[in-house]
Amino acid sequence: MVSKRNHPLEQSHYDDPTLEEYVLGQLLPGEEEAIRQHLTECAVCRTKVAAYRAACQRIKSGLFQKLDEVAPGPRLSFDHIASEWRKPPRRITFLYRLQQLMPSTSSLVLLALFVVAFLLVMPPSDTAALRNLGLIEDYNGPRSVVAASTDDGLVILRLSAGDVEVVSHMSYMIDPRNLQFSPDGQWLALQQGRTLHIIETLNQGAHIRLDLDDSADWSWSPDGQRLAYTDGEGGLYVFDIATQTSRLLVPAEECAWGRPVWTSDGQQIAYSMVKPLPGSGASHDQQSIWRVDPSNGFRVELTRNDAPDDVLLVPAAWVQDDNALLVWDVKAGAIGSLPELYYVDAAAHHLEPLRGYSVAAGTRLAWPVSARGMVLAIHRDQLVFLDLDQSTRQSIPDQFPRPHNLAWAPNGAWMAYTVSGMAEGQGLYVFALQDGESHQVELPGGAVEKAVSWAGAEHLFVIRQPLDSSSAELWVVPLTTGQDPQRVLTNIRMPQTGPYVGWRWQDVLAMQVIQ
Amino acid sequence: MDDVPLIRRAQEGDERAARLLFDMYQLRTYRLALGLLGDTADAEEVAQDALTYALLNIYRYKEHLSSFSTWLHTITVSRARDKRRRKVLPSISMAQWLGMGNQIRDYEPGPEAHIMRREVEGGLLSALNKLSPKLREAIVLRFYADCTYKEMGEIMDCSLNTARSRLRLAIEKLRVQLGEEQVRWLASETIR
Repeated sequence: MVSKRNHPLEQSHYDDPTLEEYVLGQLLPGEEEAIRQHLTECAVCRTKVAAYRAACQRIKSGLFQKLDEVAPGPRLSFDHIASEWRKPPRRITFLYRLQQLMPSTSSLVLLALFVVAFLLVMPPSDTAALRNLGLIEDYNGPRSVVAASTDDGLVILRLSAGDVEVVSHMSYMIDPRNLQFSPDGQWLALQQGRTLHIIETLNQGAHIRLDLDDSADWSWSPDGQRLAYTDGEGGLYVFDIATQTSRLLVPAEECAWGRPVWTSDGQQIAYSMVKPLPGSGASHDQQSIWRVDPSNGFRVELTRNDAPDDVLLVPAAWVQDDNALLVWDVKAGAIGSLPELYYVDAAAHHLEPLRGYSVAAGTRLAWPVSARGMVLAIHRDQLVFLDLDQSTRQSIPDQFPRPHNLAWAPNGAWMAYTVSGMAEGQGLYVFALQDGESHQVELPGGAVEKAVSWAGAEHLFVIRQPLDSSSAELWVVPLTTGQDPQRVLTNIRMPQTGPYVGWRWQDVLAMQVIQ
Repeated sequence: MDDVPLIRRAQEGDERAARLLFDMYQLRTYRLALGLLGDTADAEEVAQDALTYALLNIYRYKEHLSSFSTWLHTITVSRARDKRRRKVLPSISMAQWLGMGNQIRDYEPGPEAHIMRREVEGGLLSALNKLSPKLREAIVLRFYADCTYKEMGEIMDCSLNTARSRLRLAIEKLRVQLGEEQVRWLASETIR
C-alpha cells in the first residue's frame, strides 16, 4: 500500500508491471480502484501510466487505421470453398438432406397429408394378423370366449350367434403358457416368461401382472372370483378379483408345488408339498398332499408319500362331495410311463391305489374326472370306468377305441374323445354312459382331430390339425341341431409336448362357454 | 449478428450458411493475416487457406470450447506461421504494401492523416516489422483482434502467462523503437 505523504520523494510507488497491467485492464476491480486512487495523489505513477497508455493507444490506433484501410483482392473468394463443399465426402446430415428435399412448409404439410392418407388406406398390422386367423363370420355355436396363441400374438375373441368380436390382440404375447379362463369367462390367466397375466376379457379391460417362477401353476375358484396359484418358489397364494390383490396362504418354506385344486364349493384347496422343490436336482425328502382353507390359511395334511424319491403325488380332483381326492403320480425320470391313480380319503387321511392308470397331458390328466365322479383308467391293458362316488369299476369292451384326449359333458352323462391315428375327420367320438355305446362324429376331411372339449351341453369344441400344416384349427361341432360343424379360427400355434406325455393344448388355446 | 445459427446450419451441410460465414469473416481474417505477415499476397493466401480449412472442417468446431472467431484466429495464426516458415519474408516495409493503391479502399486521407501516415511509415510499422513473429502475433491479437490473454494463449498455443509476457515484451520493444520522448509527448497530450 502506498504512503499518505504528499512529497514525491517520500511516497511509495507501484511497480511498472502492475501499472502496465492496469493500463491493459488485466487487474481485478479492487486492485484497479486502489491504483486509480493512488494515481490521483502520485504524479510519478501517473506519468508512467500515461506514457504506457499512450504507447498502447498509438499501437492500437496505428494498427486499426492502417489495417482497416486495406481490403483483400479478388483471389480471396468462396468459389473454391463452394466447389470443395459439394464434393463427397462432405458431412451433410440427414436433417439437412431432408430440408433440401422439402424446403418449404407447404411441402411438409403435403407430406403430413400423404402420411395420414397412407395410414388410412393401409390396414394396421392388427388387421393383417386377424385376417390370418380366418375368423368365422356366421358362427352358430354357444356364447363363448376363446383365447388363441398365434404367430402374431395372443388373440381373445368373444363368440356369439352370428357375431365374432375381437376383444384384444396382444402382439407382444408370443409365448404364453397355461391359458385358463375363469368359469364365468370374465378373466383369463396365463403366464409369459416369469409373469402371471390376469386379463379381463373385455375391450380395454383390466390387466394385472404378478411375478412368478417358471414352474408356477394355478386354477380358478368355481365362482371365478379367486385364482389360487403356486409361485414356483414354494408359496401358495390366492388372488382376489374384487380387490385385485394377492394373499399368501402357504409360505415358501412349506414348498407348495403344482396345480392347486379347489373343492366344488370353493371352501378348500388341495395342493402338493414337495421338499425340496422339483427342479433343484436334489432328491425329495418329503412329499405329501395338503388341504388349506383359503379364507384363513388353516391347513391340514391329507396324506403322505412314503416314496418321494420314486414318485410324486399330484392332486387331480375332489370327488365324493369333496370328501375324497383323486390323486395321480408323476414317476421321477420315467418319461412316457403312465401315471397311476390313487384315492385319498380326506377324513381318514388314507391313501389307496385305485389299481388303474391314466394318461397325462402336461401337468394335467388327459382323462379327467366327470361331474359324476367317473374316471377312465387302464387296468391290465383294459379300459375301465372307475366310479369314484360309488367305489365301483366297470369294464369296457375291447373294441372301444382308446381315447387320446377326453372331455366329459357338464352333466357327466356323455363323454367326447378323440382317437389318434384315425383318418382325417374320423377321429371324434361321443360315448353315452347310459347305453354304453360310442358314436363317431364325422367331420369334414382335410384335418385330423387332436383334442376336444364341451361347449355347453350340445356342442363340442374340437382342435384339429390340417394335413401338412404346422398350425391348428378350432372347430365347433353341434351335436343335436343337425347343423354342420364350423371352423371358428385357424393358424393357432401348435403346442410343445408336455414334460411327461401328451400335448399341452392349454398353452395355445383356451375356450370357455359364458352364460 | 449472432453467428451461432449460421455455424449450426453450416455444420448440417448448408452451403448458404457457409457462404454467409465466409462473408462475415473474410475481411477480419484477411486483415489479421496481413497484420501477422505484412504482405498482401501472403495475407490473401493465408486467409483463403484458413477460411477454406475452417469451413470445410466446420463439423470439427465445438461450440462449447471456444468462440468461432477464436477458432478461426487459431487456424489463421497457424497458417501464417506455416507461410512464414515456407518463405523467407522479403524485407519490404509495411509502408510499401500499405501503399499499393489498387488494394486500398477508395479513401482520401486528410492532412492529419498524411502526417500520421508519415509517422507510421517511419515509426510504428517499421518497429512492428522488427519484432519477432511471436511478439508480433501478441501485438496483433491484443490490439487488433482484441483478444484476452486467455484467448491469446489458446490461439498462440501457449499459457496465459506466456501470452502476457510476450505482450509486455512486445510493447516494451515497440516503445523503445518508437522512442520514449515521442511517447512522453503523446502521453502529455492524452492526459491533458
